[in-house]
This record gives sequence, C-alpha cells and structure tokens, in this order.
Amino acid sequence: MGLPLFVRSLVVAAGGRTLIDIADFAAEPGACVGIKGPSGAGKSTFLYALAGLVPAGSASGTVRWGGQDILAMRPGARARFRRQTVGFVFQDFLLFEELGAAANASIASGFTGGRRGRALRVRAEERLAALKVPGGRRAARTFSGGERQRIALARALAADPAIILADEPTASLDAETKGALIADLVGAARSGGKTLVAVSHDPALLAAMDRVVEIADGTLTAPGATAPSAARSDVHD
Amino acid sequence: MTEFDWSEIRWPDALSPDALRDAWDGLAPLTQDIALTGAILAPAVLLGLVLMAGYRPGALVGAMLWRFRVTNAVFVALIAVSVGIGAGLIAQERGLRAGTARAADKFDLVLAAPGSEMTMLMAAVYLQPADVPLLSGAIYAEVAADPRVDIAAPIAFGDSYEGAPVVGTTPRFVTHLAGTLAEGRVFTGEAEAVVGAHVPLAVGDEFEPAHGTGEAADEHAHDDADFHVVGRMAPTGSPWDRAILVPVEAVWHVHGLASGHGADWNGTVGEPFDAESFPGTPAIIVRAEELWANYALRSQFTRDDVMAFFPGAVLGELHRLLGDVRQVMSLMAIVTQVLVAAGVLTGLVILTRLYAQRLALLRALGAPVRFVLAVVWSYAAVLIGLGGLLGLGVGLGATAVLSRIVTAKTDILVTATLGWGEVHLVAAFVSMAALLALLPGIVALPRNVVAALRG
Ligand SMILES: Nc1ncnc2c1ncn2[C@@H]1O[C@H](COP(=O)(O)OP(=O)(O)OP(=O)(O)O)[C@@H](O)[C@H]1O
Ligand SMILES: [Mg+2]
Repeated sequence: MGLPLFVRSLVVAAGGRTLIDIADFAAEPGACVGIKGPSGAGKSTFLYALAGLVPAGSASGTVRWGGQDILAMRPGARARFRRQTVGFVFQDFLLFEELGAAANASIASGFTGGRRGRALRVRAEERLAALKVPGGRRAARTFSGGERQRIALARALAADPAIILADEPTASLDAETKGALIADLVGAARSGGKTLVAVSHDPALLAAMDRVVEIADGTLTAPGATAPSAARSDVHD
Repeated sequence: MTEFDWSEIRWPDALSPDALRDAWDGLAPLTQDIALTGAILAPAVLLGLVLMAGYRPGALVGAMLWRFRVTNAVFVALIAVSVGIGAGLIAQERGLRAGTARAADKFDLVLAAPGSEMTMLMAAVYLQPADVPLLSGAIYAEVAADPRVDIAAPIAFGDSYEGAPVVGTTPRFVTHLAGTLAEGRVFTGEAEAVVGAHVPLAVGDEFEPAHGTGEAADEHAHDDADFHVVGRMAPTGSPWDRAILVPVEAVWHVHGLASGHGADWNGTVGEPFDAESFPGTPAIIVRAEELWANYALRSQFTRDDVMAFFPGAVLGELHRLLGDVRQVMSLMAIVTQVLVAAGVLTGLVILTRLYAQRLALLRALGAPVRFVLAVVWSYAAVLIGLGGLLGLGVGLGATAVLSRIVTAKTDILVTATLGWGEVHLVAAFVSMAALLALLPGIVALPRNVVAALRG
C-alpha cells in the first residue's frame, strides 16, 4: 500500500541561499515519520520537496518514492503523481473558503474523471463523516479551526493516497481536538498502510510516530535520521 | 514543383461550392441567422469544450463568481451597457431611417419655388418651420390641369396653435394623407378643421390659430378667425399627427388674400381653384398614378420658376450621407466594446491574481494546467456571456427608450427593434472576448507553486 521513500543529496535553494541540504533520508513503506525542528529550519520546504512542489531549477539530488524519482519528472507527471499518490495537509489549511466541506474535501474530483472521480467523492463524504465534520451547505469559512483542519485532512485522504504529507496538522488546536485529529491522521495512515511524514512540534503527535527526526538549519541533525537498511533497498513493487 | 491547381479538385457533388451555396440560400432566413450566430460563437464554444473536456470546474467557477461578486457584477454591467448601447444605437439608426421613409411615403412629388430641396423636404413633409417663397396660381393651374396628375394639393404652412402647426390644404389631401378618419369628417367649410391624432383638441372644440410658429407666433394676428374641429385623423407616424389641417382658403382668408375661387364661389372648400384669384402656396404635393408620369412631371416642373423633387430621393441621399455616420457609429460601438473588453480582461487578470494562491493550491493538489485554465476561463466566459446576454436586454431597452424619445421629439414614429444584425454583433463580441479570456488564465498560472502557496 504505502511507498518507500529514499532521499539522497537533496538540496533546495531559493533567493541565493540554500534552504535545505538533506544528505540521506529514508522511510519504509507504511512508516510514520515525525519531523521536528525550530521555526525556519526548512521543515515545510522538505515536505514540498517530497511532494515535488519545488521548482525544478531550484532543487537537486534524489527524492525517490518507490521506483520514481519525483525530481526527475516533468511537471505534468509530477502533478499526476500528486493527485494519485500524495495527500498533503498544508500548514494553514488552505481551503476554498467559499465552498462547503464536501466540495472542499472532494475538490480533486473536478479534475479526476470517471470511476476514480466518483470514488473520490464517496470517500471524501465518508472521511468527513468519520471525522465528524458537521454537514450541510455551509461555506468553509464558517467552520472552526479544528473543523477546518479536519476538512483539510479529509481532502488529503479523499484520493486514498499511498503517501500522506502533513505540515503541522495540529497547530492552533486545543488539546481535545488535537487528540482526536492525531488519532484520525495516524489511524488513517496505519489502517491504510500509508507512508506518513508529519511535521510537528506537538509532543503528542510525535509520540504517535514510529520515529522522529530533527531538521535544524536545513539539515538533519538527529543521528537516527537514517531508516533501517531494509527500507533503503530499492526493492519495491 | 508544380503549382497546385485548385480547379482540378473534383468536389463531391453535394459538397461543391455551388451546391453548398444553394443549400445555404435554400434555408429559411431565421435558420440562416441562427446558424450564423452559432458559427460566430463556435470558436469560443470550441475553446471551452477543449479546455473543459473531462473536467468539472463548476464548483470552483462558482466560488470565484461568489468571491468577487461585487466586482463581477460591475464587470457584467459594464459589458452589458457597452454592448447594449452599441446595439441599441445601431438599431435606432435603422429604425430612424425606416421611420423617416415611412413618414415621407404619401409625398410622391413636391413642387416648390426654386431653392433648397432639403429645406422644402423638412418644411413640407416634416413640417419644420421655414420661410419659403410662394408658388403662383399659374403653376398650380398648370399642374392641376395636367391629365397625368391624380392629386395636386396646395400645402400652406406657417401658422400654429399652441405649438401645433396649422396647415392649409384640400379635403382630398386629408383623405390621401390619413385615409379614413378616426373620428368625425373632413372639413367642408372655411371655419372647419381636422386635427392630427396627437393634437390635444377634441372634435367639437374651437380654437384660434396664431400667425407664425414657436416663440415668434403672434397670438392675436387673426382675431376673428375661429375654427372648430370636425374630424380627427388616424395616426400616420409622421409629424402630421401633431398638425391641424384647415382649408387652404381659410389660411388665405385670415392673411387677407383672395379666396382662390372665382366671384361666384359658393363657399365649398377644395378643388377646383381659379388661377386668377389663387394667392400662392409654399408647396404643392403632386401624385400621379403612373410611376413614369411622376418622372415626366418632375422634369416638366424643374425650371426657372419652379422646382420639383421626390422626397424619397432626397431622403435617400440624406440616408446615404448618414450611411457614413452609421459606419462611424458601428466602428465606435465596436471600439467601445473592444475597450470595455480590454478593461474587463485587465480587471480579470488582477482579480485572478488575487486568486493565485488558490490556483497554486490546485496545482499542489495535482490539478493539470488545463484544469486551472478551464476554471479561470469559465469564470471569465460566464461574465462575458452574461454581459452579452444582458447587453441584448439593455439594447432592447435602449432601443425602446430612444425610439420613444425620437418619436416624441420629431413625431416621426420610430419603431426600432434589435435585429439579427445586432445579435450577430453581440455574438461576435462575446466570441472574441471569450477567446481573449484565455489570457487571464495564462497570466495567473502559478509559475512557482510553493512561492504562491506561501502567499
Ligand atoms: N523563496 C524563498 N526565498 C528565500 N528564502 C526562503 C524562500 N522560501 C522559504 N525561505 C526560507 O527558508 C527557510 C525555511 O522555510 P520553511 O518554511 O521550510 O521553514 P519551516 O521549518 O517550515 O518553518 P515553520 O516552522 O515556521 O513553518 C525560512 O528561513 C524561509 O524564510
Ligand atoms: Mg513550515
């Protein structure tokens, strides 16, 4: 289900400076990896790079999901990879404020045709129900922070992606909502065997991960950054 | 390499240019107009289909429409007003041409003292005040006696009653002008009058005309001349609807001139007149049954002491002159619409930029470029299409209002309506603008998704 991740010599530069320089990082399929680090360390940049979102000219190195090096793909292929394989929870929700919860969660059905699109809409509804997001035709902007975060999570899970990338999914939530969201996120990843990479400062979220690495000043600092050698092999299905 | 010879092509018979032309000409005009409208819109529709194939951008288009609803409403209104006024003016001009021609319909040939045909046309047909010299009784007698002539009616204008021109003429001309009266009967005696459809006098009313017209009218010049209304004409759609028709003898009488009849006159107004005691008239309206006779009469009466002209021909000349104005107007309408379209598209570029973060989000979620273009284009196309449709409505409204104003100001009945020409014009604008609406999408495409996401 999940895909193995293999990163080597990943350098992302912008505005004449190096934002991140990740020598070596890996995650086995279905692993849940937490990333922590001070503000401005490059955590979001790292997640964007994993999703193939950094402009081609500003990144070098290897980011391989399964057998595909996302940095080597053309923009169209990257987009297809994202829509089929990656579920991204953005740092500040990034919802379409005018649309309702269901329309937001199933936004990708607009550009996903046929049976896949229909399945996506059904799954989005299921996720919203499972996450206990209130129904109705209310616009996203009328939802509370916790509800919005859950809509964003439902959107990330709607395409049933093999990979979940979550950027501070519990920021600005109270303890109770936080706990529920962590349970939902980790539960979805574990039950679906998805590979999860979550950026967070939240001890509760980090505690639910298989392991946690730290980024400081654009580089991995914790020696445990490297995954078990089994995951590093290029064997995949 | 040999030159390609198109004439060598053997078209399948059904597809030969001639067969296609015949097939097109064989269509009903309505079908042709609808087909042409479709053809004009086709490029835009095609672009839309290509952009949207397989996608469902509706929800996001709705979101953009709602998000910028106030600005969107302003854009739609701008497009609607510019399109509507352009279409309305062009339709109006056509209606005015038809209206002026219809108003001149009953005036086959006009005889007047030599001078400006245009001035005489305005005075005799459209009853615009003018000082014109008189034709003598000899000329009237000559044309009235001509066997080819069916009607030869003196028209004596210059007096007025509360702004309504009082025109002296003959009973026959009243019948010729308005057909069966709407009410009452044609005048038979000197003190009787027939009023136009819009004159605020009723059958049975009495009135006293003033000498002259407008500001200069002298209310007390004809103190002893009282008329009473015996009939009302049906509407003619011409300035004559606001005129009061009286026997020409009465006009002569109040000006202290001869009666136009011999000493043994029994007081019955109208033809025949006596050349010796005919005091003169500014114009004579002549009608001959035979078309050729009209031309013969025109040359016979075009000489030193009299001129003859066809109001229709003078009007045609005027319309030809106005044809240039119409082209300028059409061009201005198009330029205005192009400018409005450019302004709206520029606005859309700016608005779409405000939406750049959401568009980048779509790309981050894996949306293809074509989908993002489809969203922005559909949004713009909805505004343009809606503006065009409303523009037709505004055009209809503007046409009705302008027609009413022109009719009220000139008494020339203008019944302008939007025609297919205007629909085609609007369709061309919509099609063109919709093609250009691809630009905001292209401009707004996120170059650097991450940078856009960071806002
Ligand atoms: N386009 C850019 N040009 C220059 N610097 C950039 C650019 N984009 C990001 N940065 C910088 O890169 C660094 C890493 O940014 P990033 O968003 O990855 O940090 P982060 O670890 O996610 O921080 P936070 O915890 O506050 O979200 C920051 O110092 C940021 O200012
Ligand atoms: Mg961040």
